[in-house]
Amino acid sequence: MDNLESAVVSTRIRLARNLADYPFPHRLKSREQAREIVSLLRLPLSQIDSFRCIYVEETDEEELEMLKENYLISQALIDKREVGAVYINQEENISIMVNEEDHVREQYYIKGFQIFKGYEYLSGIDDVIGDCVRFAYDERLGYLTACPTNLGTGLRASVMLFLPAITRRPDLFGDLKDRMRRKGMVVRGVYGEGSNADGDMYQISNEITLGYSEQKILNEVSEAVFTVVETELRARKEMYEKDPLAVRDACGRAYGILTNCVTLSAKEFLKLMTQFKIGVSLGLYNVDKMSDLDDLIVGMRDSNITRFSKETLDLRGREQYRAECVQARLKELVHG
Amino acid sequence: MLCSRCGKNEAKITVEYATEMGKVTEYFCESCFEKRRSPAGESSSAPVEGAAFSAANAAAARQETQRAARCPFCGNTMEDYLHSGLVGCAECYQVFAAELAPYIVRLQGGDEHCGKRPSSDPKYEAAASLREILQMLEDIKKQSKSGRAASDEGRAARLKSKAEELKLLLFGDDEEE
Repeated sequence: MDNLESAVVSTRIRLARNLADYPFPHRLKSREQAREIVSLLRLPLSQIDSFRCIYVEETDEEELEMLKENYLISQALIDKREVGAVYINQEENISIMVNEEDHVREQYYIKGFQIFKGYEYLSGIDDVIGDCVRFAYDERLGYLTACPTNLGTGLRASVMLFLPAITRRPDLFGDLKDRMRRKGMVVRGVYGEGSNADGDMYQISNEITLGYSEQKILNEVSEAVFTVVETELRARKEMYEKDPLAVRDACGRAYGILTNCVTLSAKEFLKLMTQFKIGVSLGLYNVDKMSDLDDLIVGMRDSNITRFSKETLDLRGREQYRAECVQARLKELVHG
Repeated sequence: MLCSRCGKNEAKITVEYATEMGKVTEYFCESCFEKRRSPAGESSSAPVEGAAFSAANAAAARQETQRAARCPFCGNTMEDYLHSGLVGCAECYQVFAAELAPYIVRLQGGDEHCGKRPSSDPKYEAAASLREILQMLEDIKKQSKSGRAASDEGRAARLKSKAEELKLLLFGDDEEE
């Protein structure tokens, strides 16, 4: 496992676009107008991949929550019940949110650090859509968006990072946030501000979208990610050197419980997996790919258990199902 | 810590506000904070933001009346923007150009796009024709299935052929059906 992989979980590229001939979503005049926008995207998307279209108002809350937990839609789209929709490809790594804050939010979600490849691919999709619909664009301000924070490129490049050692060092964390802010980057929890404790995972993304080219933005985000990863790896080493017994004990206990417990709540699972991943990243346990552990974390969320389990489960049932799945999967993933 | 605007003076005031990206915190020295409180009052000689704030100065005199003005396309006002943080439509960026300029510069640090632009050879008309043809084909299929109309294979074949031609024009010949 390389150093980058032990800290970078995933990359998400997003482009914000609007159609020139319609008011922005919050000013749409009717549901019919909103549906027109959804239907205008069907043709170009049908040429790219097999996309399914989901209307928010026709979808139950459980399904919407599952889509949100898998990063395919945002809470903002769920809140746009009457006008919101999303196109999702078969692989479930590309989603085109329609009538969220902007008419079109193109998103590509990829495992690992693939910021340049991700943008290149999404930009190709954007080109196909842009050939078929007239995007709102201004020579000076670039792509026009409902919120001026997205003007220009409309590009938000986010990298999700696993930062357990920095999280445990408030001095480093505060300093890092300041340094990132000065570089024009935003650091936040996986599901936005206030969710910092979720598995010690954070997103770093560009704040500025206007005045820089896409390549410059990607370079800057990339540089910022390398800086953070370096700091994290150094902090992990220091944490281990300071008290190796404590680190090994916490990791071993986590693995022991994860592979022997009979019921497992979502909260306890995330906490134990975080401890275990620290050990894996320090080489205490041998796992081929850290992303397999991240997949397990995503797969064991309540909404995904509900989706994949064959029967309807209550809370207790989900906890038992989670314990069984985690036990089996970790035994496959961990060698030696 | 230094002021996040001028980068020279010590920051004494912390301001937090909500954006699409979540909560944003900025740190200002007293001087920059005063300027921030009244964007139209920014000096037009400010080195980085000069052009935009010249426009803002011009806008200051008619700020009150402009705030009440409505975009003819979507009906949004500057007051609406100040309340929600959202612009109503593409046209609003023209209608309220001078009023929005200082806010854009403050949020983005600049106001000159230098990235990607839409295709210089868009095919909107071909796409519109194709959409229409696909809809007609869908209607023929539905009518034929429900038995409401006699089978119209000849017309459907002509439409399909036209659709293929348009798809080739729009998406090239390496695209999947």
